[in-house]
Amino acid sequence: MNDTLHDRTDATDDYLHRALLDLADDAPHDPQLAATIRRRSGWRRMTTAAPVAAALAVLLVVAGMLLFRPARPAPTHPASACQPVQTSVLPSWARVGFTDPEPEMPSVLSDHGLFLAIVFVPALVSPPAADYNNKILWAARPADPRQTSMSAGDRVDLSFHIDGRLEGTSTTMSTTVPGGPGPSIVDVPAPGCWVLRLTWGRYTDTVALPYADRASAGSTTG
Amino acid sequence: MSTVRSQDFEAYVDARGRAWERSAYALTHDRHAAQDLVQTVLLKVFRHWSRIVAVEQPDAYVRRMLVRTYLDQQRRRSSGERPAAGPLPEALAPDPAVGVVQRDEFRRALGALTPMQRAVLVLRHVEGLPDDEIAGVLGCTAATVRTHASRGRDRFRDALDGAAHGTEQEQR
Repeated sequence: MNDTLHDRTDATDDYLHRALLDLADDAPHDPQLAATIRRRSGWRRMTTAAPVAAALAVLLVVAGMLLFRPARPAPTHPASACQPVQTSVLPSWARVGFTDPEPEMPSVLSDHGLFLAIVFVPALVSPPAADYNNKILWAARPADPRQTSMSAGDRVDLSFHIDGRLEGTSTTMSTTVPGGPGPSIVDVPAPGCWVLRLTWGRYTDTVALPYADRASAGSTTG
Repeated sequence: MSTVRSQDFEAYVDARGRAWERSAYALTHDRHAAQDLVQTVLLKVFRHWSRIVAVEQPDAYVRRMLVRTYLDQQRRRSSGERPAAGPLPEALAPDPAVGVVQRDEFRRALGALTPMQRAVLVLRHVEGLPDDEIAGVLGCTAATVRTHASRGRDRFRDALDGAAHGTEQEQR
């Protein structure tokens, strides 16, 4: 009896050991971990000085416009929809799963504020590489469409659909995040400003994300 | 931070970062939570690097921070929106390899552990620490460590037995 109990304990220990090591082997790896930490630390310092810097910048721009306003409006060119990805404290509805109560992450809010693209890599790059993932965590402001559907019998497509077009071209891409907004790898076929149409159930919105040329972004992306 | 100190920190992360990623994932079983945990702890280490290396081994500090941050996080969740048993295991991709079912069962059984049991078992099995060092990390006695380990093993075994029982019933 005691031998049987002992054998079972040994077997359980062995299973536990294997289970934990097997799980650890699957841990995600950030080959740029030190750079990620250094960047996040730098961002924090920047955010403390950001309000003063922003106010000065606005004053300078306004003063410049007043002093050097041209007599006729200059010919305008269509501006890109993309802005550099900014790092800031995430909105409260996008903080689920973060350890820090006020996490600061690079992110881009969709045009109507329904979705947030939280960027988990130093830069989004194209073309895709086997050793580098364009990892984006999608957060949604609206409730799960299952909870807001008109009737219990409604069939709701819970997948999060992403349909993109490279700005100024006819190049497109399309991908789906099964189960709704969450972790994803969003690769695009060419660098540039990608305008993505996001669809989740009855919610749609758009977001513009800049993808750098992998060749020129090599020093930061490895 | 001076360039030399920054280079020291980078060398440390290059050498030890993978080990912390492994432990964090074994603790959380969630890819984003694991990365967030590692980054949160290393960010604190980066800011206080010179003080940490002057006082103790960075490994001891990082290990203690990693486990305590994980336990704090689980405590907050257990009183809030998430079950005390921790996050559900991530779904495994279909895999034709032999043994994947057992692997899935093992991972689900790990989800039955309490956060403290899981911390003890990760420190023991993944980091290979003896009980007295685990006690130092967790701020308890070695006897308490053994109690958590024993109860964790029981829970893990019960969860495996339950899974096996469920499979038998499905086959009938």
